[in-house]
Amino acid sequence: MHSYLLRTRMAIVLRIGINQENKPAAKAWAHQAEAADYRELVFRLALAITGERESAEDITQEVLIKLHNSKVGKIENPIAWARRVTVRHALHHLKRKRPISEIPETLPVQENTQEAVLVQSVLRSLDPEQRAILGMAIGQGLSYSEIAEALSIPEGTVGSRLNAAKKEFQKRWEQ
Amino acid sequence: MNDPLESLGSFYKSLDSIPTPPLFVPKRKGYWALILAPLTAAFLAYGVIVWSAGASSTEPAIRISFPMDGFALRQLQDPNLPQHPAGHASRERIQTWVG
Repeated sequence: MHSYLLRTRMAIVLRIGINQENKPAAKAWAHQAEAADYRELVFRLALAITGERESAEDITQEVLIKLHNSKVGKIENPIAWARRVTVRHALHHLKRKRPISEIPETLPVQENTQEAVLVQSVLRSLDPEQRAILGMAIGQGLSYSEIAEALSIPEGTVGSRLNAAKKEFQKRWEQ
Repeated sequence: MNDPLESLGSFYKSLDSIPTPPLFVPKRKGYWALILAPLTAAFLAYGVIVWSAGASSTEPAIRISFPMDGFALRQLQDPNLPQHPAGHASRERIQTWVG
């Protein structure tokens, strides 16, 4: 995917026919191309962790601003970097204490079934870290190494934390 | 009721139906400078051209200005017209200026 991003960037830079290193216009184009590619990744991950559309949109905006202000070209693995920043922002968002009135009543899903309501209420009762790990593993299907990198924890810890999160979810579901 | 983890999986799958929001394009610093700089440069260039054209002109530096203009013309047509109370150039000088 990284090579795809580079190709997109270069294609846009070549299309406008100017040197990327020297011209600010080319850099602006490159930034927009990068933002367009990372937007999907960041939004989906934020949505899986928070389960709320509005929160995911806020997090996406914050992360894209950070991406815009940073020199992504100098980062070794920009995808992992984007994931790490998104997870950090999502956890910060979930840890903020919000009054009950601020919690959105409507679900992001179109099928507003009883089961979906129950899933979301159980997710809200979990710790932010547990929600994050469930969202990444089950929601996004990320590998243990990718989750470990995003959460900055050893790879061996991911399995145990995921199992604990699953057990906690099942326990609260049955209550 | 379904298995909890199965329900969780289908909940996450249902999130895929939500469209990604439109691209956020932040304003870059100096954005207005990019527009204003060429406009300012064009204005200054126009000013320099006009100034240099004026400097090289052979027209007299003193010009008859309104309202003296109308009075001077009337004075040329009628030599008996009394001089303007404010006092100004002689008829000969006015004739020189007008042409």
